[in-house]
Amino acid sequence: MPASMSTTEVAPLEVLDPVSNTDTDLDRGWQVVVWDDPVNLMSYVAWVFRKLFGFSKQKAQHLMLQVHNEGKAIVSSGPKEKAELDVFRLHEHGLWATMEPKP
Amino acid sequence: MARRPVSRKRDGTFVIRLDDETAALLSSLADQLDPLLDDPSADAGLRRLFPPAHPDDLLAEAAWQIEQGAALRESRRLALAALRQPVGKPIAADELVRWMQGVNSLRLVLAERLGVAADGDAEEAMIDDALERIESDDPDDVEAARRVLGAGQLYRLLAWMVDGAVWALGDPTRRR
Repeated sequence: MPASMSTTEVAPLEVLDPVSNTDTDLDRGWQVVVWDDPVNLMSYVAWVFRKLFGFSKQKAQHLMLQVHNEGKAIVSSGPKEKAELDVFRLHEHGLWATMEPKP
Repeated sequence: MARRPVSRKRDGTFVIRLDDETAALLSSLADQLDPLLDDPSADAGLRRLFPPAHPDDLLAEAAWQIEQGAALRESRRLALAALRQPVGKPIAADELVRWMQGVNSLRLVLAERLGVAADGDAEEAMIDDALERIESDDPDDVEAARRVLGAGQLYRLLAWMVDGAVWALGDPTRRR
């Protein structure tokens, strides 16, 4: 007897508002989050932020410390395509980044 | 070995300063890692090189892996290829960045193997433990301890290299 749906361990799919459609979703505004990890050097993380986003030394340092102390920081936001590009470039540099719709 | 692993010349090029043995080690590690990139599900170290973009949305994540997986793999391969180039000759900034990414990739994978990724203090505890076990009468213990100490040493060496590259590259926002 196959296990019933209620016993599945798969997380439920995000339920979309039936009024919204994918076009709205794309433009809605997404943000990119960088997560702390104990491996990447602080100097390296700050450098990557400056390289990818053009931040000043102070801003890059601030965000890097926020990641380090609070576990995560939002580093950019914008349309979905921009968020995807930013996440990809962060991954290329070995950082862990995710994207999520803006609240 | 030079005090700094990377130096910057006045003409804006860079030189990686490693002894032949260390350069050969990097090249060999790159050779080992490269074929493993085709199946990152195989271990946690490899998975760290292909982190999720949508951890809470299975469909979006599946789409991400399909759309971006190959491009990220290609990028990783280019970075590892930089580790196989002969050192000591001038290279441009973008080549140095690829080299740095290659070294960092090795470091990420090694960290998972060392158990550092789970807990920043794990590295020190593991090394302390290895320093004890290397005194053991059991040759298997000694061998295992040697490997851990070797890995720990390598982990620190790779950090020195990444930091050296960051230092040499300087302000990345400055137009040259």
